Amino acid sequence: MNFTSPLFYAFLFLTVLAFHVSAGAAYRKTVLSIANLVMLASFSTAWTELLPLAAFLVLGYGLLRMVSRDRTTFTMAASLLLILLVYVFLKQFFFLKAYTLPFAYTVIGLSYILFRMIHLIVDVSAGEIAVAPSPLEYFRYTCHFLCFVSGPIQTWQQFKNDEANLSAPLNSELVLAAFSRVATGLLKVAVIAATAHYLFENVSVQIFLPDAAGGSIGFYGKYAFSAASYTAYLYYNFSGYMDIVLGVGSLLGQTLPENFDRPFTARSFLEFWQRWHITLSLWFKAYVFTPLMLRLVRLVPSPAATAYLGVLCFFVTFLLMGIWHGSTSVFVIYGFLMGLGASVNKLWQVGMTSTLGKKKYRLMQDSGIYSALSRGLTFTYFAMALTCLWVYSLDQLGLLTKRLGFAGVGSALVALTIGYALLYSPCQLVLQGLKAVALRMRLRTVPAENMLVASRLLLVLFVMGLLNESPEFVYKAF
Amino acid sequence: MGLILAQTVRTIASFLLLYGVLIAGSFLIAPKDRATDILDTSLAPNTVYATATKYLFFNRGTLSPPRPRVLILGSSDADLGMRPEQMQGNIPCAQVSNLAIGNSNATEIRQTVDLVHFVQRPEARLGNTFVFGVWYGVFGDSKDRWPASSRKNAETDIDLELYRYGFYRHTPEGPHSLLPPSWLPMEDALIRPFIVAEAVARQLTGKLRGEFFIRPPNRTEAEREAAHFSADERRAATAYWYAQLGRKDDISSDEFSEFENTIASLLDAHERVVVVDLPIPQWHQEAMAYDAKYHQRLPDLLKKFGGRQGFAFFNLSDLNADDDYSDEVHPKPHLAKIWAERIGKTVNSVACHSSEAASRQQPEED
Repeated sequence: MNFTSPLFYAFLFLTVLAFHVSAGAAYRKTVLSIANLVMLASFSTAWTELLPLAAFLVLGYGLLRMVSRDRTTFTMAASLLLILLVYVFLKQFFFLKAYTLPFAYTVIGLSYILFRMIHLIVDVSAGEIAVAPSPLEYFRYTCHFLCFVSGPIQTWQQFKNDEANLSAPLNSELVLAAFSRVATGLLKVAVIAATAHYLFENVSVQIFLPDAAGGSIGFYGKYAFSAASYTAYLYYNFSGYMDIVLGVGSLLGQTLPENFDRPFTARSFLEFWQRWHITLSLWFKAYVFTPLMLRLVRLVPSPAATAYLGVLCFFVTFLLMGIWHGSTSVFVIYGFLMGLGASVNKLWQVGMTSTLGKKKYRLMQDSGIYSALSRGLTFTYFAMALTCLWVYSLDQLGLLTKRLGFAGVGSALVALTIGYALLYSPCQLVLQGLKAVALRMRLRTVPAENMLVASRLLLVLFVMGLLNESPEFVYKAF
Repeated sequence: MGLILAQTVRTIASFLLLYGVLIAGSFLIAPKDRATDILDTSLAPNTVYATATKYLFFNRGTLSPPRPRVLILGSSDADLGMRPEQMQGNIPCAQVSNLAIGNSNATEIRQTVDLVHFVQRPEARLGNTFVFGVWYGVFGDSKDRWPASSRKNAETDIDLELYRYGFYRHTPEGPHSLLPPSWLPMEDALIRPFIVAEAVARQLTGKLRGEFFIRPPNRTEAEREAAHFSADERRAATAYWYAQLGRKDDISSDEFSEFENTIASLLDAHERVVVVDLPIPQWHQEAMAYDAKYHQRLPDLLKKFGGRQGFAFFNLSDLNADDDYSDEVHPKPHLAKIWAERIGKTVNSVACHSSEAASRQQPEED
């Protein structure tokens, strides 16, 4: 199902209506289970395409039951290793291309199902989850039709809370807020992200033309523009989809966790990842960074080394998080750049704190120019690292790097950093001004809110007609 | 559930209210043009429809009344080289309309014929003389002309216009209109806000798109007359057309068959067809093997249709001097006048003096 197709919204609408036919918890759980099945089936054209995913789920559940009976570290580690091996095989990572199943199959949602499986296996083994889920609970949790494509990654505890409150009644404010959130999500996906994508496509294509002249200011500018517009596309596409998911979720009695918190206001790479794809960051923190850090601290108990161990753990965590985004070799470069960004950021923090002291370093961070440049550099580093997501192959990345050279990379870095730093404050002022005007004009009445919802939908329709495309959800590919 | 249904109704009502306001506003900003008897797609940029395909789609109702008509079809060289105002003088019996769409292939030419037929009753179709301006560039597969990177299913520009607003649906037999031809003005009114928004967006961003995106140059008549096509431009042009034809050894057989089928169906229905083999500059003929391959197929086409009532073939092969072209395919204005003069005379003999034309005109004369 295309996430901007009328069919998808008809499916969501029918699911919501079916859900509210009865307030019984068992009935509502059944509706959600059926919705999960329909969503899964929509990504395949033959039932055989779903077999590997089904086998993966069955294997995960079997391992979960085993871990719940035998909570030793060995059983947990062996289970994790097995599930990871199967995942890497099914995802067809670049080093496994020679070994594949003899038929086509779908891997959509596999990553997010894996995250939930690992969470269950580790937490059941550690006793954090006292009772292992039943098969139906496991299915509803791992294959949640709103979340399995790309999050947000609920914890088991959050899921259980939602299931316990499935019969809670709605009120008109909540319904209007949900409609409004879905309309905002559509606006982000089909208007802002689609426009950014249109700009990106038209400019980035010029970078790879056979006769494109690298080494010129114009070429550097086109690259910088492509990197910035792709970043805007990715953010608004992804966060827009999350708005839709969270809005629909609230109509289904679900309080799904937020996945974005104004990431481009971040003043450091590490802060950025606390605001971008938050549930993924939290998952990696819980299941990669923290266990790794604990082990290393046990190995090297010196307090002086702790900060530097943190640098190493950040590198490994972000390297893995980057590699996870795709199965081709170019994602190793992406992971390296993510790891480099996080570890250098941590090193800078450690170095500045020890040089200036905590108080002076905080004062410096709060100063206007430092803040603006930090924001600019955070955005720029992320945007340029994302190049790996749109060049598609190492050859193309090599060609681009050759055409840019050190001068091009440096020019783009400086231009984007300064440009972002200069534009950030005026943009914030405009946004705050618009909010203040809306409040003063009392645009918060119910008819006005309805008009705002309708106007967003109208804008979506206009821009989709204008650009003549129905934008896809980009993150489902990761 | 009641709350959700009530909110759905409120959202739909608000949406319809806003859309109604926008329809009214769009007619205030861009009132409906006065109806004319002829169409000329080259005028599209000066209208609210902005593109040739949209202009053709929404104005084709003009072609409904039964009367003798000469309808020019082809790509941009047909558009520039067969100007209605220059040909009309030589074709006094019929109204000349230009329906050419830049970068058309044979599939899109057939779709243009279908768009015309949709608004014409069978008796009105008998008045049609279709003039097809063709050259090798018209015979490239749609999937090469509109590759998957920009169009998922190699949709032509006409396909986009057909399906964009939901007035047509796909069927195994091709596009099927959900509404009858008489509803075209209503369709126009319903999506008027989109048309106006697109025109405004094009106006506002035209300069920026021209500056930063890859777009064909938009030149005046005087600039085209004075143009000199450099060696570098020639190399780029041949590379472009090589890609447009799918980097294959030959022109597309499917597209050529599509063209032959179009001619056959028109002749079977007693409409008239003039095929004009449009020339390209000599350097271009020599640089691209496609031109020779295309010309190798023409004798077969003539064999098939040459003796049939209402068919004529015409070439301008002597008009291929390099300096007479502003680029690799488009005639300079002075050459275009010569094209129009010569083509007009041939079309006149088919549209106004053939036995079918005579019998068609008989009832009107009565």
